[in-house]
Amino acid sequence: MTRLRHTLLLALALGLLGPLGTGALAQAESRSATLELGFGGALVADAWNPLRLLLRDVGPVELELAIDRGTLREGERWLRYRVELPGGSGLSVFEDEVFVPVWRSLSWTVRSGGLTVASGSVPRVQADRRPIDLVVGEPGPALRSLLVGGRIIDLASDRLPLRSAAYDGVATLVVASEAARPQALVAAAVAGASVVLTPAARAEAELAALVGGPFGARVVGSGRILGDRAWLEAEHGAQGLVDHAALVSALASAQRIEPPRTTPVVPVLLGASAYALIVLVVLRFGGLPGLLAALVLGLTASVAAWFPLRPAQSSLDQAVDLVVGAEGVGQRWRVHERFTLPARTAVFEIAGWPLSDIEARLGRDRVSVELGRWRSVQVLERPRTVGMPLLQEADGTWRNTGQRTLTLVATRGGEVVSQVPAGASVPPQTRDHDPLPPVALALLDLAPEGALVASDGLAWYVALPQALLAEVTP
Amino acid sequence: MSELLERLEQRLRDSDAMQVATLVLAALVVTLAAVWPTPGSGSNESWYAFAQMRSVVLALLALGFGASAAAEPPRRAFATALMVMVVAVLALPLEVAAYAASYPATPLWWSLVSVPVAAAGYLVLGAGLGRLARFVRMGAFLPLLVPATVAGLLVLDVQLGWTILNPLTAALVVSPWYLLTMTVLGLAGLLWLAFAWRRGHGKEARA
Repeated sequence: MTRLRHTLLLALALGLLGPLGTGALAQAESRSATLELGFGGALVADAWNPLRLLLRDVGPVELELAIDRGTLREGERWLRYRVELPGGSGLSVFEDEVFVPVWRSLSWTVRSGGLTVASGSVPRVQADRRPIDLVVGEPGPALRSLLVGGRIIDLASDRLPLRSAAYDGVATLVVASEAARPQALVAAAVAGASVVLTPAARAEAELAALVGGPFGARVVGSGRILGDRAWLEAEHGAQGLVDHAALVSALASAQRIEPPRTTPVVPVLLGASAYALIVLVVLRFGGLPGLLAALVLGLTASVAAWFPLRPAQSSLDQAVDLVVGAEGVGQRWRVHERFTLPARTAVFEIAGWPLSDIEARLGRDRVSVELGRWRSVQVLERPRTVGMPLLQEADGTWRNTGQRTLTLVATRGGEVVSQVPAGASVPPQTRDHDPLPPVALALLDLAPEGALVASDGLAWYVALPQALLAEVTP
Repeated sequence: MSELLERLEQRLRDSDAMQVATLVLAALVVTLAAVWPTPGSGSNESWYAFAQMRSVVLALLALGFGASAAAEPPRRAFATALMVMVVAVLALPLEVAAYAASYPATPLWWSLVSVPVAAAGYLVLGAGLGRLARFVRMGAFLPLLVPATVAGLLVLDVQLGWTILNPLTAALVVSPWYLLTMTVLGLAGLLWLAFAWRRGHGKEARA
């Protein structure tokens, strides 16, 4: 009887605990974190890539992306991108863009409450600098055959990011679906991609309005939007209009912070010798007043040496913009630079990437770099879409549509206008002008034919002409 | 107080004091000129080399005069100690010049505080060294023992991984233990000298 009772109790206990255990198991199975780096897992090295983290029923998490871009000779050089996310019950999606260099090791971890929820790595062999071609829908073999880059990624239309930075490593975006969002296509074009719209895409009125007809083509931002026929007959279909990386590199190297000038040694030697001599003479022959005078002289000399030799600031900052675009919209690259005299941690409250080959800690809106004495670092802010003040009219003339006066407008032919007020047309240019600054010369060397290089004192602009499309339209 | 100042003034006029002051200032001026960068060479690192040189030279000076002062009457020993402090303080403008141009992360107050405190500490260490050397009848070897002591302190600190006693690494980084050690040594020496001064004053009065 007792055994029967025990058996019944055990069965009851199992019956009660069973569903609880199953529930816990189901909950554990539903908790997940999935990270997608790049488009469809394809990364473009030395470019900004989209990052998408999918959390399901996971509480506060920390995502860490660890990239080692060191070499065998120089050892490890880590860059750590770290963000904390609230997560929560249900589905949470986090999207961002991260700059991915050519890596030696790339791994990621999602942690929650001290436990690793998910982790993974990307093999080094996948570190490919070649841009990718995105295909949305099914454009047909003729268009696919033109995608000669060798890295073709098929993507659902709802997975196209809306921020232009995500398209940094995209050469071509072929759209054969009317479900694509026009904002995403414009973002891709602004970033420098060639966006090709097939008849299937142009069936949607909003998308058709972007380009007109099959032969339609327009420069948008630093890229272009074309109809499929224009693309098919383009002579250099796969090439971008401008080399953004080269332009940014030219800007970054031409406009650097000047370190404080060191005082020559001769005045320092003369001053120090004079001080020592006076002090010794006063001590030797001045008696007690001489001793006091020497001490006062020491104090005075300290103050006198401090002010002329001390640099005014312990760190110097500058930020310079480069905007490449057309039709009133452009892609902006902002290069921040900090020069520090004492060794310290340089923190930039931006989403960015250090241009120097140094270790850094990165966040969603933060870049932190350890800087040695008298060192500088340049950080490239994540590119974004901004207005372009130079607009080309239908008759080919240019107009300053911005809010500020352009202090310099130059063409590749060497013609320059020094002042173009806001709202005014760019007048005929002159060859009789002051020497151009090094930044303008560097940008003019890299700008395409017919482009204007301009500055309003705060930013540099490379305005692309619609004539660029003459090469690709029949 | 006026007697103290008079004795200090007399001590400074002694030939050995003037020679040492001249030597120290000349060595520091030459060091400053040697480590000063040429324009366009980028960073100015002059303070690092200069501060270490200054620190070692003043430590040698204080140890040496401390060792010799151990055999002097208390009043003269007090004047000698103050003379070393005056020389250390008069070297500060050269350090301020190097510091201003170099812009190191080490705060300036460290140099301003550690220079006189370290001088006092090494004076006391020197006095101890002098007494010990004479006790073991090795007073003639003091010119060798003084630099050997500085080297020994450096080796000891490096071996133990501390910055408590050596002047070389203490010149560049803020070290509370170094400051504490030197302050305690300096205060102990000051108390001893004050006591010896009073005792000497009483003896003079009785005589």
